[in-house]
Parts: sequence; C-alpha cells; structure tokens
Amino acid sequence: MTWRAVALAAALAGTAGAAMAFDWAIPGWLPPPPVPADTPMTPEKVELGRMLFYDARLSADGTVACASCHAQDRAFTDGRALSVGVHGTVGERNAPSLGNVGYMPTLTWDNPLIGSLEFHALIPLFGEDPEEMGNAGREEALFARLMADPAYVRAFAAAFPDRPRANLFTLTRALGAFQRTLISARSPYDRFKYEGDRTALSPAALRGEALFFDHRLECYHCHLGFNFTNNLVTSRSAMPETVFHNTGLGVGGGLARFTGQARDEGRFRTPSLRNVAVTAPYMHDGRFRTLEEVIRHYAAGGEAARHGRPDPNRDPMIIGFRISEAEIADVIAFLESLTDEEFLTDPGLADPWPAGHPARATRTMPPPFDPVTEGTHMTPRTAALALAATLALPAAQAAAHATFAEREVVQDETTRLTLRIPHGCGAEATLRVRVAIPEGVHSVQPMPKGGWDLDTVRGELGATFTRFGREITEGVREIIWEGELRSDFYDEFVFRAVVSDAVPAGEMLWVPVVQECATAAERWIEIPGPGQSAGDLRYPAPGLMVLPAASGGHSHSHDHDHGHGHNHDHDHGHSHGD
Amino acid sequence: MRVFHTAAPAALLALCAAAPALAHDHTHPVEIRFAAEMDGNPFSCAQAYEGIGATGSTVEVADYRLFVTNVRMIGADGSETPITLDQDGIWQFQDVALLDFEDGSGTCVNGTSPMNTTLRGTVPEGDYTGLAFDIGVPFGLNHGDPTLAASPLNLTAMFWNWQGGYKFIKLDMATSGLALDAVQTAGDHAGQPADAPRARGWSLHLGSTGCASESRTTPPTEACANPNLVAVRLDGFDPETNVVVIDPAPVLAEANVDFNTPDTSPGCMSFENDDDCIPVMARLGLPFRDLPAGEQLIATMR
Repeated sequence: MTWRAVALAAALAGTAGAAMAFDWAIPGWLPPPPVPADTPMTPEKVELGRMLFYDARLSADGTVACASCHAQDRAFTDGRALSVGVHGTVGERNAPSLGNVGYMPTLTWDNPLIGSLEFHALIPLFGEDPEEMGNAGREEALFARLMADPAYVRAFAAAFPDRPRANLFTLTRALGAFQRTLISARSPYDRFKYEGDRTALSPAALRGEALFFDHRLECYHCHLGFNFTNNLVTSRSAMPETVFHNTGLGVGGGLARFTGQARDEGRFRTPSLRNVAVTAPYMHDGRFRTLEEVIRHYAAGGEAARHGRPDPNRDPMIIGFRISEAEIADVIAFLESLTDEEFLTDPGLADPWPAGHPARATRTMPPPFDPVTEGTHMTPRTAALALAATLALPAAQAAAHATFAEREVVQDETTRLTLRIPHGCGAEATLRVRVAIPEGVHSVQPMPKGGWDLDTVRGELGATFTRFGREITEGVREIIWEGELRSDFYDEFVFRAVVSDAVPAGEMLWVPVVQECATAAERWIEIPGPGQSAGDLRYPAPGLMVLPAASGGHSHSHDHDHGHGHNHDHDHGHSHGD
Repeated sequence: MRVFHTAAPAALLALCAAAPALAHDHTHPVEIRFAAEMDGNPFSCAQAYEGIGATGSTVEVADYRLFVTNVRMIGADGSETPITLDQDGIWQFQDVALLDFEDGSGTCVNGTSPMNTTLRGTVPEGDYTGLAFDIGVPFGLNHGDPTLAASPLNLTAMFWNWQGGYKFIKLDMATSGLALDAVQTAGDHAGQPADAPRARGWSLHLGSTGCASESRTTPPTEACANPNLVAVRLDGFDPETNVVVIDPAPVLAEANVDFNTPDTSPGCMSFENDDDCIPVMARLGLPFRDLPAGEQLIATMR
C-alpha cells in the first residue's frame, strides 16, 4: 500500500510520520473518512492495528480475533448467520462487513449510541452479553499478554511514543486506525461510474444497474451514494447521516431497544452493498442465504407481508414489485460488479502473522470463501423445491442434468471422472464450465480439451493428505474450462482426482458444477437433504457413490481399511483449517 | 448525628486545604461504612447462600459490585449537604465511588482481589440526621469515553458500552438452576471452541436504558428515558454508629433465579424486553414498563 512508501520516505527524511498528512491511497474522487481529533492517522498506528486485528490473544481463551468474524476474503464478514465468540458463544447478529466502515456514522446493526470505531472496539473486547472476546474484568491480563510479545513492545512504542504500551486507549485507537484503512473503491462499478471505463460492466450488470436505480424496485432510496447506504459520514460531511429502516422482516427489537420508541421496532441500519456478493448470509440475523432470496423478500413487500402479516412499522418504500427471473439475474449481476477483488486480496490488509505464530495458532477462522458453492446464484433447497412445484417444466429438460459418466469412486484411488453437459442455458451456448472441488478431495488434475481454455483455482485444502509419503495441503479448488458449446450439442469434461477417506464410504460425494452462458447460468449445486434424493431437486449437483478402499475386496469397515493401510495412501489429520 | 456542631481540631482543618477557602467554612472528614450481605448473612466469596428468590435457590456469587453517587448528609432541617469524596485515584472519582464487595477468591470468579466497602470524604460542619445517595453513575459521567476515564470508571467489568454507559450494579450468580462456567484463560485453553455455549448463570446488571437521542445527528445529551439510578434515603443514619447494609436478596425475593426467559439476557439486565426484570425493578425503587416503582429494598441501615 502506498502509505508504507510514505512512511519510509518520512523515516529517510527524518520527518515524524505523524506530522505528515496520511496517504490514504484511495482514488482521488473519494474523500477520506473522518479521523478522531485525538488520534491522527499514522502508518505505525495502522500497522499496530492490523497486528491486533488478526491476533486471537485479544480473547480470553485465545480463539477469537477480530478477523475470526471479519475475514478479508469475505469483505470482512464470517459467512455465518450469527457470529460466534469465545467458548463457542453464539451471538445475536450477523457480522457486518467492515468495508468502508470508516464512513459509517454508527456501528453495529441497530445501536445509535456507538459512533466511533474506538468506542465500538470495547463491545467485542469486553461485552458480557453476548461474550465475544470475553475480557470483561480481565483487562490487565489482556494488556500483559500483549506486552509479553516483543513485537508489540516495538509496535506500541512506534505507534504511541507518548504512551508506549497496551491500554484501553492505545488498543482501541490502533484498531480504529487500521479499520479506517479498510476502504473498498476499486470495483468494476467504480471503474465504470467514477473512472469512465464504459466497458467495466457486463451487459447484464448494466441492465441490473438500471433496475437498481429505477422507481419500480426503489433499491436506491436507501442504498445510495458512494457506499450504497444512506448512512454516511466523510471528512467532508458537515453532519453525519444515520438512518434505520424496518424492511418488513416481521421482527421487533432493533433501534427500539435503545430508544424505547414503538415506532423504532424492527428498524435496523441500512448496510452498505459494497462487496455484497461475498458477504452472505444477509440481514441482521443472517436469515437469507443468497441475494436472490433478498430480492424476492423485497419483491414480496417484505417476508412478513408474504406470510400475511405485514409489519405496521414497515418502511413506506417496502411495497413490493413484480420482477422477472431474468431481471433478478441482472440485479445480481449489478451487485456482483460491486465486488472489489483488490480489496479482498490486498496484502496490506491481510494477516500479518506467520502460520503457527501464537497470535493465530488457536485462532478460529471461517472457511475460505468458495466462489462456486457460495456464489450469489446458489438457490437454496427450499426455494428450489417451491419453484419446481410451481413451474411446469418440460420433463425432458428437468431430467437432463449435469452428471458424471462414472457412478462410483473408491477411496484413496486416483479416479478418472467424466462430467457430462447435456444442454446450455435455455437456448444459449455454454461458455464456461466450472467445477468446485469438495472437501476431502485432492490431487485433482483436469484434462485439457481442444477448443477450450483450461484454468484452475488453487488454494489450501483445509486438511492435510498424505500420498506417496508426501504431505499435501494445497491444490486445485476449482476447475474452469472456457470455450463454446452450442445448447443443442453435448460434450464431456474430464479430470482425475483422489477421494480421501475423509469422505465417508457408503455415502454420496456431491460435486458442484456451474455452466455459464452469455446472460444466464445453470447451477448444478443443490445437495439433497435428509430424506431427499437428487431427483427431488431441480438443479442437483452431480454425485458419486464413495466405496471403501479395496483392501480385501469384502470389507466395508472404515477401521479395517486403516488396519491395512500401511501400503496405501492415507489421509492424516483432518484438521479443519481453522 | 450531631458530631460536627463544634469547631474542628486544627489538625483536621489542615487536611482540608483543598476545600473551598472560606475561613469560616469548616469541613470535617467523614466515612460511610457499607456492609454487604446476602439474605441477612454477612457476604463472603467462601460460601453459598440458600433460600434466594421465589424458588429458594442456592446461589454462589461470582461478582458483587456497585457504583454510588450524589452522596449527601441530611440536615435536621431537611436540607441536603453533599459529601465531597476524596479523590483517591482508585475507588472514588469526582462524585462517584465504586463499592467492591468481592475479593476474587472462592466463588467470586469474575472478581478482583482489592475490595472497597467505605466512602471517604468531607462534609461541612452542621447538624446531620441522615444520609442519602444514589446507586449508579450520573449522566454526565456515564456517557464519557471509558478509554480515557480515570479509575474506577475504567474498570472493564463495569463497562456497559452496549448502552453507552456503565453497569450500576453488577451481581453475577451461579444458582441451583443456572450454572456458571468459569472462564478459561489463554494459558489453558485447548484451542477448540466449547461444544456447548458457556453457562452464564443469573445476573442483575442495572444501568440506564433508552439513552438514544431524539435527533439522528447528535450524541445523547438528554437524560435517558430510564436513568435507573436507585435513590436511597436513610433517616437517622449516623456515620459513627451506623453502617449501610447492601443486600440483594430482598430485591430478588419474587424473582425465579433458577430460570431465564428464553431469548433474553441471563437474569435481569435492565432491558425493556426482559421479562426477568418484572419482579426485580420495582423492588429497586424503579418503574419498569407499565409497572410503578416500589420502595427500594437493596439498601438499609443498621
């Protein structure tokens, strides 16, 4: 990040960093967030704040860092409906994104009393109901834990020369300084809107933008301005704007818990929509798993209205609208254009601690964001069933799913798998085929295909596998073929992989697959629940029956396999990557 | 009390140099002693207490602290004279003092080893026949910046930032029906979240609610809708012979401390939506929802 270079220049010139204007390294069109008068921004404070943000030693049991609920690849959210604190304590709210949090005049979903990041930090650190980091009454132990690390002795001295140690002031100021640098303003939409790049948005996103800013959907009345929320404060603001709305979710509480006013029941702060495609699930209680569900909620005039109980406090803008399936897809394409990959991967905002360091050795983290299984288009099972019941689909089309030619795989054997794509997206040709590699599968090798570009997304596998005496911790997480397959043609896509014994024998392994066309997609990502079969689903993921490793040809016992596994590849240590 | 009707010895006067410098304004040191009890028994972290609340629960206390403020001597003519609290840098700041009845031992797993059971201050010469004070933190100090506050307003155990203030009373208990799991420390954790959420016991956390300002763009400057300061008046109180007895058992007499209403805070934490506060607040002398205030039952004299 640019501010590092500024710090270096300041050090070389012998200038105090604090005396120089802080370089936010943000686009020129964007004013910086406001900064508290008692804590000017400095690179040293920001760096100390980053160390603290990712350090699980901030929690009483050493398992919870700020990053445990605010992970960078999820735009600083955690993918959970409700966040989890120390001792597995489940909280009451969905972790909000920290993208552009410095521009929020109030923090949290509904509390109007929390107006600064510094004050807010006290809530996760010391709150008792719910406990998040569990330090109430234990601040001296917390400060001592941090100061026992020489890295903090140096970092506090650099950031706060006048009070060079951990205390309530320095801890909260450093965390606030780092969080103010979590600025997301380099999405495709920003390039389109503020930097004049007319090619930055897809045709679908452009149609979605028109819908978003249209009076039929009324999205923009609350989600407006640079941060797509009517709650905004910048360094140029004469006064902050704070707004809380009841969006017809059929719940009480919210703002009323603080004002005691009946009219405030069920009112919550408008969230920013920046990076919203990677911050599922949605709403203050994480009730919606996909953007599609959120859009259907608003189309119905609020979930409560859909269930025949419209909320008397419902905001007048929440009146419902008609929207086609194609229009929903367009709005989602527009919302996806707010995803700022640079922000999600900026190393200056990432975990500064090396693997195994005490700061993170016992830290819990959400699993890495999976763009295929967690993509914005994932249709939840229940909604899919409801759709299947109401739509009269041609039986032939419903039956023509993406499938594997193989029916079975044997644990711990390299297996060739042939994915069969029977049709495009309606009449549209398939342009991409993406395969998400499930947990427990490793050593994946896709087969190149004439006329198709082949790419893979690699990453941590979330567990350690041993094969031929070699430990495997990372590998292919996703396969992407790009080319063209007419809708009325058929084709096959081949890869090979090893299904470890982390996937139980006797059960189905489901492999999510997405076909992308020019303006639509087919998402074969639904997984049958208990008592369901793939035939119950409209878009089932292709599946394979997992058979036990063939040691004696007769035993299906997991333990038995291990007993004979000396000469076989083994999966050791199913640690959960967190 | 008529102890201050004569002129003070010169030695005491010398200690009062910081007091307003009127030659005839003689001030005297005064100590107000407090005694913590549970259901009439002296409080200790070393024992359990039986027969608490509507269900006669057996409780072990994990934390037992409270703030007092606005401490006044009541004159024979009914006038009220503030006691100026000594600024000791630990327990007393401006006109607020923290009383800490637990020593961090035994059952008091949420506590700290230092204790404080006395208010120390000065009061002008006069005829006094009683004592009055409030349990709580005054509005002007309740909504400051706790990261910059002086002790005792910087003790995180008493932070109640979610409501923008402090806990006025913090009483945490393990009861017959609601256990309280000890907090693990960083030194002995196993690196795994607990399988089950931590048991939270039953707590009385009193504090101000409804503190949001009417305006969207200004911080709270008005008094809170429910300040929840407990007004205590003890007629006939003589600091030399009497002690203030703090006993939560009468406050909890109609509460079921073996049960917590689902989806509410553990015990009564002052929230309007918390049914567990219904049998509690009136007995603290506070209104709650539509229920009128009763007599406060937490503080008596002996």
